[in-house]
Amino acid sequence: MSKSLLLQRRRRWYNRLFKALIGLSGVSVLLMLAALFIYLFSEVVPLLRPVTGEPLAPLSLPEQVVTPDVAGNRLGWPVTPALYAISVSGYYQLVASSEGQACFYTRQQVSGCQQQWWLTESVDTLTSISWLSAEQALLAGYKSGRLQQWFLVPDNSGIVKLQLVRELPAQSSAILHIAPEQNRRGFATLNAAGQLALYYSAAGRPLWQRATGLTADETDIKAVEFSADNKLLSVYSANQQYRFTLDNPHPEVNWQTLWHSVWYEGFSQPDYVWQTSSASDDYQPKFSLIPLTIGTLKAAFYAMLFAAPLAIMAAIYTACFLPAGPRQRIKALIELMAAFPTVILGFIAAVWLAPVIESNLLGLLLWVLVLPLSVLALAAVWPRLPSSWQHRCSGGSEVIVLMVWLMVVSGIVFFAAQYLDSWLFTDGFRFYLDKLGVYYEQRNALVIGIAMGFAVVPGIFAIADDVLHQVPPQLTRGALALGATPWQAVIRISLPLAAPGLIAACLVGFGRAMGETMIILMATGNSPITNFNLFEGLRSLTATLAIELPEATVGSSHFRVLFVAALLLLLFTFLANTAAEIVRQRLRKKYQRL
Amino acid sequence: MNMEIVAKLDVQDLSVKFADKTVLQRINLRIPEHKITAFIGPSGCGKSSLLRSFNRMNELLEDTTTTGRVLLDGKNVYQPDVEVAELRRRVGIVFQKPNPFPHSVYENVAFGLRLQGIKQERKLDELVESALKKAALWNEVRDRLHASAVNLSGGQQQRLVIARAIAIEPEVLLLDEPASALDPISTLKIEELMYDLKQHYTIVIVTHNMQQAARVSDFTAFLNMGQLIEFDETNKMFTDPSQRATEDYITGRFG
Amino acid sequence: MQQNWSRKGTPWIWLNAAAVALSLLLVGSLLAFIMVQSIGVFWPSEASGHFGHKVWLYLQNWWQFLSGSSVEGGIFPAILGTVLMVLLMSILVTPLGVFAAVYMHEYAKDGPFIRLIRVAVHNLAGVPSIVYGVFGLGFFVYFLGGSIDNLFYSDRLPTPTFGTPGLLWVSLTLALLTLPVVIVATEQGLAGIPKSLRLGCFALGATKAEVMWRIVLPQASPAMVTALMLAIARAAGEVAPLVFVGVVGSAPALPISTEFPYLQLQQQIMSLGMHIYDAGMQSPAAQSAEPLVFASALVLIVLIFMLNFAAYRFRKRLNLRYRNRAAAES
Repeated sequence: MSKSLLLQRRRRWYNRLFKALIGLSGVSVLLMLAALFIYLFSEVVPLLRPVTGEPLAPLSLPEQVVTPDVAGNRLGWPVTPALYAISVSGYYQLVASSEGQACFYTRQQVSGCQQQWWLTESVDTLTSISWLSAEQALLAGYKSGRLQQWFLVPDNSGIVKLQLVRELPAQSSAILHIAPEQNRRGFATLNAAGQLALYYSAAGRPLWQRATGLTADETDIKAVEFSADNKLLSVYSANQQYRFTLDNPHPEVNWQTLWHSVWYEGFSQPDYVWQTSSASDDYQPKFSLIPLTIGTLKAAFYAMLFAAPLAIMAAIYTACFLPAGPRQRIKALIELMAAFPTVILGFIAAVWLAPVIESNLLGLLLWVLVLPLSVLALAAVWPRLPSSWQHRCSGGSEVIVLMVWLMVVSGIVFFAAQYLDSWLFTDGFRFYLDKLGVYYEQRNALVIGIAMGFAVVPGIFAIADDVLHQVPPQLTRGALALGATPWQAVIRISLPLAAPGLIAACLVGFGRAMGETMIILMATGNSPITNFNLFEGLRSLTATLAIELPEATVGSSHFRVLFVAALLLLLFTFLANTAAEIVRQRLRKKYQRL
Repeated sequence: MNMEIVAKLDVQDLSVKFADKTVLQRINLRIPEHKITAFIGPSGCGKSSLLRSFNRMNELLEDTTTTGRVLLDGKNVYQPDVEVAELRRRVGIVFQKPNPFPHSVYENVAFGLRLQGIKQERKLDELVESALKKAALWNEVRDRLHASAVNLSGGQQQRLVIARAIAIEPEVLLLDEPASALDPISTLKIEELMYDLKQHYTIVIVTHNMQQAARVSDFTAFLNMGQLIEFDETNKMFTDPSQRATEDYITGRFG
Repeated sequence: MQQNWSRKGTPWIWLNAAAVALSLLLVGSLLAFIMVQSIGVFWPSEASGHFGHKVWLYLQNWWQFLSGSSVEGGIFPAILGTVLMVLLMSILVTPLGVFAAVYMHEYAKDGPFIRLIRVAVHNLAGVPSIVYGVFGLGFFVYFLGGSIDNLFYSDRLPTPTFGTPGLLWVSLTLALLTLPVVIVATEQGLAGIPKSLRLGCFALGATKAEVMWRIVLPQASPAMVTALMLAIARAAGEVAPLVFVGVVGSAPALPISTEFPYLQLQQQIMSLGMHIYDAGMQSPAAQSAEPLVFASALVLIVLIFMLNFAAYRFRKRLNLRYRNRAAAES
């Protein structure tokens, strides 16, 4: 063998190659993680970008643009009209005097007004009115710079009336022109100071403002108009067309529409609404994330209500009271729960559990009450049984006895509940609820809670069992040596010590429940409602993604809002998991110190 | 001290730091060829670190910095063009705790040989046998060459590890308290083994056990607090140490 | 008596034991429920024929169900799709996840950066799978797929080849989804290998690559199998994220062909999970298909349990081969 301190070339290259390969895969994994975050953010960022607009060189017009005739004549209306607005289809029309007296009518009405009223209470001069596209809202601008938005809202008899929805922040001078966007709920205003402002119906503040430099006295500017794609805003004077390019791809999404209650067209009050598609083309997309977030939290909450006590109690038993052999076996069996694909759980919850719960509601209620009591009863009877029995059933086989006992009790409870149901309530408990005015949906949060609870039990159990089992044994041994019973050692030493770990287990379970998709998708009605009612359905962020993302147009506001939902999920689970991780690490250090 | 001897390892101004803690301070030492040199000293004096610096094992521990030079046959092993793997092939090391690989006895010994690219079964068989014989283990394991090495006794395991190390014919064999985890009989066997091995190898041994050092070594170095206090022939060291500290340690007055 | 009870905590212990019993009961009854619902589906209904004949028919019906195409009411395309996507995923995720774990545990210098990465990876294991689906659709299908189309299949545009959901993207998304699981489990395995083995290997003059390849990776192999097992169990039943990237309720053709390259990576596939969702909830004839859906559910569960069991056996064998690690440590 050689005397030099050099390796064979083959081994040297092999070593370098391997290092490069390992480094490459390490780096590529890092890159992928980075790509995950960067990509999700990159799809959301355009929503946050402010609206921009730049002036183009003005065109001189060969001939004068004919401005729409202002003098609409209304039969049988005694006031002299000064302003006139007609909706895109020409169906809804409105005339108003400059003092603000208005007459609203439809094309079918030959004479008279459907609604006659004053647009403004205070003394002001009406300077412009305009319908927004989709004919559901009217805008009115005043000399003082005020700007009002009116909605068509049907009254009790079903006749639509205009109702004042909001006063937008007043501008500094008279609003001379209002131009609606095409097919969107945005509009632009031009005031007497020559300032253009771009608004979106659901948002209060202007999205974009720009002084045009036009010394716009009332006769000079004839009209303000959007191009068909809303990317060009034109201001027409007698012989010039001043043009502004606008970059405003997502006016319907901002902080307010996502998180605050918004008064949408066709609603009688502000509300949190998620509605992204509808039968008609001409709808206003409504992107409130509140119902979805509430739905996610609601589902996770009810799942935890079921899973956390069950998993933690089970973990206390396996970690603190079972010898190593049975503990391993029972752990393996409970972790079998994790092997069930959630799509199967969701399917069973939807087609079997939901109807069964509906027809056995009383039984379920009784079961929850009776089950613990029956266990206590068994515990009381147990010491009186022959000691040979007791002896045979120790060290983990009590669990088998309990399983049989629980089965028997459950059977009896549900059987008895059927009789009770028809005996106590004439048409059964379910109809009794209806009579009480409790709204009951078949696929509701209760079903979700049970099905999803099943899915998160193994996760919580595994962590809880771990932290309880890792409590340094010398501590509990010390307590036992001082004459404490095993139970006292657990309740006084192990549980307080491991409590942060149990909370971490719950956090992990909560994160898992928030991210669960199939069970919620299949076993709820997926209606985006904003409440915590146990007997109603819900729509979660995850289910919304699953339903809507495949159909959303790439790059549209809808698409991007769905990415916001995905980021939100990421954020929620990240917070839950990070908190859990920190807690567990602290606990591990604490254990080591002890 | 006789300076005529051929120095296999020449340590010059060697300092070793773990993180911010200096464990060895400017050590100068010449390890003679084909002799057994023992390092003694109280725990934490840096004797193991010194041993490990000869084949750059320290680098595998966290955060160490080494300055100075260690010349192996006149070539500085800390030079950047030195291949660490080849250095360790030439300067083998055996640790305090036996660490056989969880393979068979045969595979444990053949492991290093295979790394060197030896593939022919017959040659491997030959080399494994001779290594096991040199390590005085052949008679005990010849019938269970293909049984797992982990089932051997502690002393057998340690001799297996030595066999594994000498199978690739290193020039220097570093032994880091090789017998401290073993029973007296195994210890005796290891000591006999060392005596046999010194014909072919230069051996450096770290030991806690003064009697062991006195029994097996030709030269002894006494280290304390990261410094080399005294280095001399073992006979002289144990009968007439030149330093007071050495005498105190050897006679058991401190340490 | 009262005193004694509260001191010994007997009722509470019994309640805790009841929680265990209830959990086991739930697992057991769920399994039993699926069995009961699906086991009788294929029992021949006609009264004629003796028992043996009926059993024969019954088995034949099962076989038809398992091997038939979707037109015949069988689930063969779904089984094939599930197996294919899981296989491809395993091929993608195993080397990448294992090497990344080796990188993080053995090669990268331990510092605040690597610790941050580790927390991120641990965290990603808990990120909802649907988020990966969203990423898969946007990044893999639209971005990567679109780029591939532009570069290599520009003659076929605007009909997309890879820029549309398909098998490749399904497996990639699944691989990404299970990557954190594999990394975390492998790293745990690596952390369990005693340092003395590594040092012993280095001491024999091995290069780092040789130490990894001959000692560390074989020693970590049971952990890797566990990792893969977890990954497969998670992937096989996954539906929600795959809806975006190429799993459909009914695919027009199988993703395999008799000509090179035999595997149509751009083809949309069916999977058992999706089949359960689609046939059970989405199709107009959902009510009547219910028994068949239960049968599919049984097949899926059996498939997952079989995979788990195989991995369990394999791991046991590996563990036996390296059984002595515990002894070597002591």
